[in-house]
Amino acid sequence: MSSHREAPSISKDPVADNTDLYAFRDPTDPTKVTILANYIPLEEPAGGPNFFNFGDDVLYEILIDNNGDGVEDVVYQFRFKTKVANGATFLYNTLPISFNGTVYENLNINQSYTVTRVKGRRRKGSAKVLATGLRTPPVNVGPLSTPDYANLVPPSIHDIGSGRTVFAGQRRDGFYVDLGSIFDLGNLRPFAAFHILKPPPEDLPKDGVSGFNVHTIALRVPITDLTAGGVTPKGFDDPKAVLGIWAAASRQKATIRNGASDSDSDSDDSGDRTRGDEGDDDSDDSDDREVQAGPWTQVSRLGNPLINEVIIPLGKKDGWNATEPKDDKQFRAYYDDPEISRLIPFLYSPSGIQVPPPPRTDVVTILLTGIPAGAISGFANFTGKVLADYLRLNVAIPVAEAPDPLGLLGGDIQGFPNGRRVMDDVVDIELRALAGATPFTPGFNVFPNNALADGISPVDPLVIPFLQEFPYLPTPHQGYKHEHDHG
Amino acid sequence: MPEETEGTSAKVGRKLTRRGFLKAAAIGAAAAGAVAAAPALLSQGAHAMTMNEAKPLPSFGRGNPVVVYIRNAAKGEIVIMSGTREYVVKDSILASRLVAASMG
Repeated sequence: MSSHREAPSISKDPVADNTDLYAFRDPTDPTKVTILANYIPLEEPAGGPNFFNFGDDVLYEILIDNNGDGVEDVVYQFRFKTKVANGATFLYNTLPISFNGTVYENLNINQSYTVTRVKGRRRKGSAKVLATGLRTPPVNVGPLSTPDYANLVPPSIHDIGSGRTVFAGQRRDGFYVDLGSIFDLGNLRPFAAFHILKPPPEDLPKDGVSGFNVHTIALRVPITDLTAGGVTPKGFDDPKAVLGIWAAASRQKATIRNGASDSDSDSDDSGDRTRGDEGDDDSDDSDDREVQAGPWTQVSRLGNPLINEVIIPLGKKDGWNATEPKDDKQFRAYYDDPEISRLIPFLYSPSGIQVPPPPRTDVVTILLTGIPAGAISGFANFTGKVLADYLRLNVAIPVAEAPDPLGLLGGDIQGFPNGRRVMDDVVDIELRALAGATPFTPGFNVFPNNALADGISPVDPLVIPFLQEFPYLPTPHQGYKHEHDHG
Repeated sequence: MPEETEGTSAKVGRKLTRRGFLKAAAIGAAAAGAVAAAPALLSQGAHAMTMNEAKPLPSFGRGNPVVVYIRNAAKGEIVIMSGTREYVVKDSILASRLVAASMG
């Protein structure tokens, strides 16, 4: 998966697990950038009664490097707080959920959040709270509980001033990939006939993420909120036009579990239990079963899709999640000689496919430094010599009128690896890039390298009905239908 | 002198001493780990400080639990955490006493 359950430690901590990151110039307002950071992989929509929520004890962050040194210059932080209205029931909601203009009626578990903007390093920079007490929508339970789900979402899209818009809540996972096939020894169903292990006769591709939800933090801000000096870049080749963007999740270093608390033995079942905190000295946490203390410690990060998934080897994955982009030089060997690039000619040897030999400077360029101006007409996403994994978004490249999911490989310079849009087919793009099917290695930009694919396409809106407006990711699946059965 | 790490506050931590640590740990609402396992030791230490020191309590730990972690007993490295702050104190004698106390 893009980054779902991609490393041993974080696979056991889904609330803090980055799954996908998108960053693109907003098509409805090109003066702004939209960033979508997804967490909590493979949410089963029927997963009640404790449906999915953000973690009150997790610090979620979107980080931007605007000068190419691999270090964040602007950070948006998100902290959540959950309130249970009635602790005497097991129900998530007590009647159909509706919005009365102020709150979601009959919703028993409410989660709100605070957005903080940090200028400079995330732990040492200048922090300013942009908004607090922002509501999140309920999850999509089913036709009786959330009968008009799409209309429950707008009250949780918040204008927080200075042209900034935020949303945090459940969405349908927009990532698409034939998981069951790829993780079965790299079997690509469209190429099954060429696989060395002779898999069963070709079958229709199956989207392994279909039917699942995620939790999304969506942020739309003016371009000038992100660029160095707050400037509007003059053109695609202006060094200030390229941003490095990544997302992360952190937990405090220590957790103490106290077992049953005093409140467990009390007869008070009126609920109103509050968890989470908004700052260092918040002492109103009435739940003393768990105590957190210590500095925030990064447990998950995500820039380019599929990096920790298939580039970084098993023994390094947890460490990679704890590392910052400025220190990614240590992982260069895995880009110079990617394991998947060695597997492709082996697994598909009956096809005669060959890939470029190491060292793969093409892969290093595409994924760790960005592509300099001059290599591709009208395009640049070079951030400098520092090797760093993050999405590189050139905010001066115009919004495409007809986006091609193959992005740059399809001739659409607004698409991946220029940031990442929701429809971009990053699985096929990276498969082909790792096989050398790019303009940088023309001798390998041939069939079958340039046709490698898992066979899942987003072009049909029935496959993934992306929204045409913020927050762009589709309405979440509801639990009642159990849509795994249909897609 | 305590060592600060990311997420610490210099203005809070600069005066944290062994005695200050003992006092902060003793008043923490939920001191844990080795400290929690050594009530006699702590009460003795806290008492000694109360008797001998009139300085106000450091803000570190005030109103928040203080978690103490002996990272490396042989080197005397003790990590003290409260809120989102963390300090590392090197005190081989204190570390030895805490380890001894944890053994009952």
